[in-house]
Amino acid sequence: MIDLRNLAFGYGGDIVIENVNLHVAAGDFLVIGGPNGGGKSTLLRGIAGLLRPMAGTIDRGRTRFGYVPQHATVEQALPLTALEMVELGASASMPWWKTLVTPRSSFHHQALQDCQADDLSGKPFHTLSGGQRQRVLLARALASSPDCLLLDEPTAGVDRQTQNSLAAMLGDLHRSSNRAVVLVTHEFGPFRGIAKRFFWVQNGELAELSVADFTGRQNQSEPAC
Amino acid sequence: MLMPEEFLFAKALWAAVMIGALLPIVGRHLVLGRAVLLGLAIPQIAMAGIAFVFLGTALHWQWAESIHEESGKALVGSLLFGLPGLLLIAAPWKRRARISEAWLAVVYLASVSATNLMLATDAVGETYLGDLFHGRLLFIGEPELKLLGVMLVAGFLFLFILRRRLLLTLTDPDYAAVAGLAVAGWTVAATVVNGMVIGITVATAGPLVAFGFLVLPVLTAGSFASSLRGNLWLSMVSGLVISITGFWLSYHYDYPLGDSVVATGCVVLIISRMLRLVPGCKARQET
Repeated sequence: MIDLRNLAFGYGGDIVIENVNLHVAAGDFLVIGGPNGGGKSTLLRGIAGLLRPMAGTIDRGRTRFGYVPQHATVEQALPLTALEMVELGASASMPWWKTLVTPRSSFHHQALQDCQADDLSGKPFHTLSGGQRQRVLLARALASSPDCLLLDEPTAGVDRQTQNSLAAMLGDLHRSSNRAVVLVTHEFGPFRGIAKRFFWVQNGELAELSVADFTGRQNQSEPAC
Repeated sequence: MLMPEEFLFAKALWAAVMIGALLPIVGRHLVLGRAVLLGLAIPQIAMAGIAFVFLGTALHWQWAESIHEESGKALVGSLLFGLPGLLLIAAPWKRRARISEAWLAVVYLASVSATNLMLATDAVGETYLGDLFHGRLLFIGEPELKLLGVMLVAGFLFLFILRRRLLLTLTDPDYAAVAGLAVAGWTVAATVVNGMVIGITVATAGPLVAFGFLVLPVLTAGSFASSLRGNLWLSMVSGLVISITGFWLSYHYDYPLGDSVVATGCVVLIISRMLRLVPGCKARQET
């Protein structure tokens, strides 16, 4: 599905992460952790095609991606409802002439329903809570029928209960399809029983770890309160 | 024409109605894309272009002298500076890299000072641009009206038909790029269309009217609409109400047309914001 060989990504000529070798297969569920500034979001943006490789090669095949950015980075002041947010996102995967007609409302409602957000469809996006916004952004990504979901800190800025609920929902969505999931997170706990492979990014390098090692690194990297 | 031929200001009324109803869709694009200052800077860049053509005429530059009508000079000058200006400062030369508000302010200041300096020794140009600033709709001729109408309708159709794609590339370029959209191409296309519409509106109605209808109807609609669909239609209705009311006030009390229309827009916006305080009138939180 996705094959990265000796890849390096960065910004403005400065390499942030390098020597990345990674294969993502259909049905994979990858969690990428690491300290702030380690390069995990840069890696996700590179996989998504938002950054050009500074070295190495990437083969994405015919993979269709559904991208879920951090909800805090999505424009908050837009006067649009949750359903319109999904409609806008779904229109991106259609030829432009197909967006001229009224979008398939039932299909978009289904995407919201799959993300347990159907009751939010008529609500203005800017009035939703962090967890609700995340559900709507996930529904937007699903509405374009992706083969692979890329999620950037999907549980950031929400309480523990919402984190667990979002993780469980992602697990359900993953199990009900053969869709690959690659997510970057600081909060590993909610994904412990859901993810299949665990990666750690630190000092610009990517390493695959066992669950136990990943948990250990995660605990070490959390600042003492 | 649907109104009596003898009505002296029929063309001005038609121009005001068309601008009021159709220009807000361009304004909506700028407001939702958080580029309102762009809407302020571009009309002023277009004014500098008009001043440049008048300066060329005063200095006997052949190409400038070959444009005989003042309205023609305004159109050429407006597009000559307005369109490249918009492309230079609004096109996504680097993804997500936008010109900062401070630099837009610098562009605005430079355009105003350049306009004034170019007009310093040209009384004809100074008079024309002075009229234009106050909203020169009353003097609009048949060819200008037709050009304005064609451009506004074409711009409206482009922005309306492709609204979902354009709004997505404008408000969430990363998502759009990952989904496979040519973000730069769509953004440049929208920029060119917006630049043409704004440039011609400035040349025929002046920068005050152009900027007024880019911003005021959309903000007024924002008082009540919480969906994209509602925002679009309410913007157009607000623009129409503002233009007709402003025209009537100008006609009845003999005020300058452009100033009357924009002042009306400001009052309508303030009233709409006050109405939000009335229970049930605020933008609905859920449907």
